[in-house]
Amino acid sequence: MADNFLSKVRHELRYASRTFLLGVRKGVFTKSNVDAMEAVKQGGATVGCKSKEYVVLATLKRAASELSSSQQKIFRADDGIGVAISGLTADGTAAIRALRQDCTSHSFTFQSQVEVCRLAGRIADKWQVVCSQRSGSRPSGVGLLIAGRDMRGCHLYQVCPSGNLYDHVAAAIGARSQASKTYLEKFQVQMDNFSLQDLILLALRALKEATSEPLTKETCTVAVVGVEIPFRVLNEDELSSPLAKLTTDTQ
Amino acid sequence: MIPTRVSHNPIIGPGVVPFGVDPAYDAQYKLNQAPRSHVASHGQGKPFTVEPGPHQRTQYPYVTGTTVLGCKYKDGVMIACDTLCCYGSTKRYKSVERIKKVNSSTIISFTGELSDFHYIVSLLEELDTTDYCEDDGSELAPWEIHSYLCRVMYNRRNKFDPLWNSLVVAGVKHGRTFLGTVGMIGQHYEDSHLAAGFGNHMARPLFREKHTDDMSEEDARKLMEDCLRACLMRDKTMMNKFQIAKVTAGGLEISEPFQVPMNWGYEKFKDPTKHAVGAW
Repeated sequence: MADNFLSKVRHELRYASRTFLLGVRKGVFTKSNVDAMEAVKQGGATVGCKSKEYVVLATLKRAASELSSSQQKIFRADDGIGVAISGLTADGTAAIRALRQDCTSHSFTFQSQVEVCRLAGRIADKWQVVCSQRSGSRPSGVGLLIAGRDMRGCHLYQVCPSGNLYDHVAAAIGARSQASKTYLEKFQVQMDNFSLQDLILLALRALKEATSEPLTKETCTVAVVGVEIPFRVLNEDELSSPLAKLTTDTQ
Repeated sequence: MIPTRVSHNPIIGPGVVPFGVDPAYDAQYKLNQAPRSHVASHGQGKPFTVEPGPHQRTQYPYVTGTTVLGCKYKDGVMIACDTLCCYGSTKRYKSVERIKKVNSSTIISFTGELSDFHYIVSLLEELDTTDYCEDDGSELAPWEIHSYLCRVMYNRRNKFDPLWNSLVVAGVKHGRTFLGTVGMIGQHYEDSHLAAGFGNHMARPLFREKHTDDMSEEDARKLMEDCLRACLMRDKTMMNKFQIAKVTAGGLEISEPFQVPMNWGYEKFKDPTKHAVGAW
C-alpha cells in the first residue's frame, strides 16, 4: 500500500485508537500492552530534561553481577539525536536499530537530519499499529526518551510501548521515576534558561531521587545534545565534576 | 480512497516502484518472470529488474522544453524560462507553465521531456502530501528537495531508464538561499547563477560577466531579461513568452507571462549571404 495512504490512515489512528491498551492475551509468548507498560516501570530509571539550547539524558545503570559490565542504556541514533531506554534492553536495541535505519535512510535521500518529531512519531506509529494491534507480534517492552536537535530547536520525546508519544520539557521513566518527576516539576520554568552544566546537574539530581544508592561513574550515564553540539555520551572525566557537586548536596 | 503508487520506496530507493506493489506499473514493464537480481534477506522490496526480452526504454525525448535560467539576488532567488514545449522542432505547446511550486519555499523548473517532468512533479507532490498529513508544520527545504531529486535521477539512470530532464531547484529557507541543478544522469551542483539546457552556452557567459549575489531585484530581473533575449535570438525552440518566478523569505511568486523586446532589424540580417561567400 502507498506510503501516502498509510500515513493518512495512521494519522487518523493517532487520534482514534492509539491509546487503546489491549488486555487480550494472544498466546503463550505474548504480552499485553499493559504488561509492556509494566515492563517499562521496572527498568532502571531514566531522566531527560531540556533547556532552550540543550537536552540532557541521564540513566542509572546496573551490572548484572560484579563480574559483568553494565548494559548500555543510552544510544546515539544520529549526529543530533540520542535515545535513552528503560525496560527490556533487548527490545530497546531493536528499537534503536529501527531508529538508526530511519535516520540513515533519511540522510541518504535528503542529505539532512530527520526531524526529531517525525522520527519519534514513526516509531510510535509502528509500535501502535504493528506491535500492539496484530496477532503474532507483541508490544515492545521498552520506553524511549528521544533527545535531539533539528532546525526547529531542541526536543525531548517520550515513546511508550502503547504507541503514546509525548513532547516533554523534562521526563522520567523507569523504576521509581515518580520521585524524579516530582523533583523536575519544581524547575519547570527556570529550566528553559539553564546552562549545560546546570542542566547536567539537574538531570543527575533528579536521577538521584530515583535511587537509594549513591551515584558514581559506574552507576550512571549522562549524554548531551544541543543546538551547537552534536549528541555525545559524557566520559568519566566530564562526569566527575557534576558528581562531586552532587555529593556536596547531600552533606 | 485509491492508494497512490509508492514512488519513493524506502527499501530500494526513490523514484522506482518495486515489483508487486503496483499492478499497473508491473504490467507496464511486463515483469512476468521472478526477479533475477539480488533480493534482500528479509524478502521485502524485490528489486526492479531488466527483463530478458528486448524491451526498450526512452531513447529520445519527444516533447521538450528548452533553457531554464536561475540566479540569486539580494533578497532571494529567481528562475526564468519560456512557456513553450516543442514536439521535435515543432512549436507544439505554447502555454505550458514550466515552473512548478513544490512547497511554500521551493520551486523547480525543467528542460527536456515534459512527461518525465510531470512524473517528477507527482513524486514531489507525494512528499508534500506526506508533509501536509503529518501536520507538524515542517516542510522539506529546497536543498532536501534537490538532494532527493539527485537520488531519483541517479537511481533511474542506474535502471537504464533515465528521466530525460535537467532540473533547476530554487528556494529560500532558514535564512539560506538555495539554487541547484540536477542533470538526467544525476550530475548536480549548486551555484549562485546557473542554466539548464542551451542556456548553459548562451546565458552563462553573461551571468559570469554581470552577476553578483548582492544585486537588487530590479538589476537581477534586468540581467535575467538580457539573458533570456540572448537565448531567444539564437535558440529556435524558444519563444517570446516568458515567466519569472522568485522566492524570497516572504514567499514565492510565479509571474504572469511577459515578452522581452526583440530586434531583428540588424544591418547584417538584411542581406545574410553578403558576408558568407558560397552560402545561399
